[in-house]
Amino acid sequence: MKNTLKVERAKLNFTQQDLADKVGVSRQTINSIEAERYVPSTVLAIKISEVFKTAVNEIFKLEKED
Amino acid sequence: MESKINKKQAVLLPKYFKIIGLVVMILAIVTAVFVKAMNIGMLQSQKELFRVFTLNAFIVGLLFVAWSRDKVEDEMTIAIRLKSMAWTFSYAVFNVIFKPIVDLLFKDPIQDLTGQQVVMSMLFVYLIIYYVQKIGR
Repeated sequence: MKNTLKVERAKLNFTQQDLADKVGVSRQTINSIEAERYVPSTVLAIKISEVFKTAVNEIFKLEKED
Repeated sequence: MESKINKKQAVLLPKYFKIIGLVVMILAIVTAVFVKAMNIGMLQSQKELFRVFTLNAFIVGLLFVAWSRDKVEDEMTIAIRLKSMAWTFSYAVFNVIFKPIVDLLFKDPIQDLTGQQVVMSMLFVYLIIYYVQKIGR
């Protein structure tokens, strides 16, 4: 699963820690999601989309092999 | 802030249990080393009781460290814990199956694994896998 978390973060000038604090996870979790090592749960994906005021499927996109 | 869902999923001890666990482990080691170094005379039954007591205290300490919350406990740490538990379980099964074979090859009598040995090695393996995965993130 691809994501545009880094781009969305850059738009709002958020650090990984800022985003982590807003959604209640660790900075490492945000880093792992950005590096596509970890796929977040639906709850976390929705929380992230609410922070960026963007639809979930605009931030997280399925790839062919998913 | 930990989410309500994570709190329901993770049945873990409060994070101060990590320190309690470390203290218990250190006390168990120090007591065992002290008694050995001082060469305190004990009956065989007392020696056995002392060995069981210190070993159990060490295992309880390890359990507290392994089963206490991290500073930030989120869904990824729960996923890492689950993965570590799965690897630990596989390790325990392989350990129990292959140890007699290794004993047969390198030692003469096959020694049975005690419950304490299995539990202690499982807790060590769990902690190693958990922290290696966490640092690697």
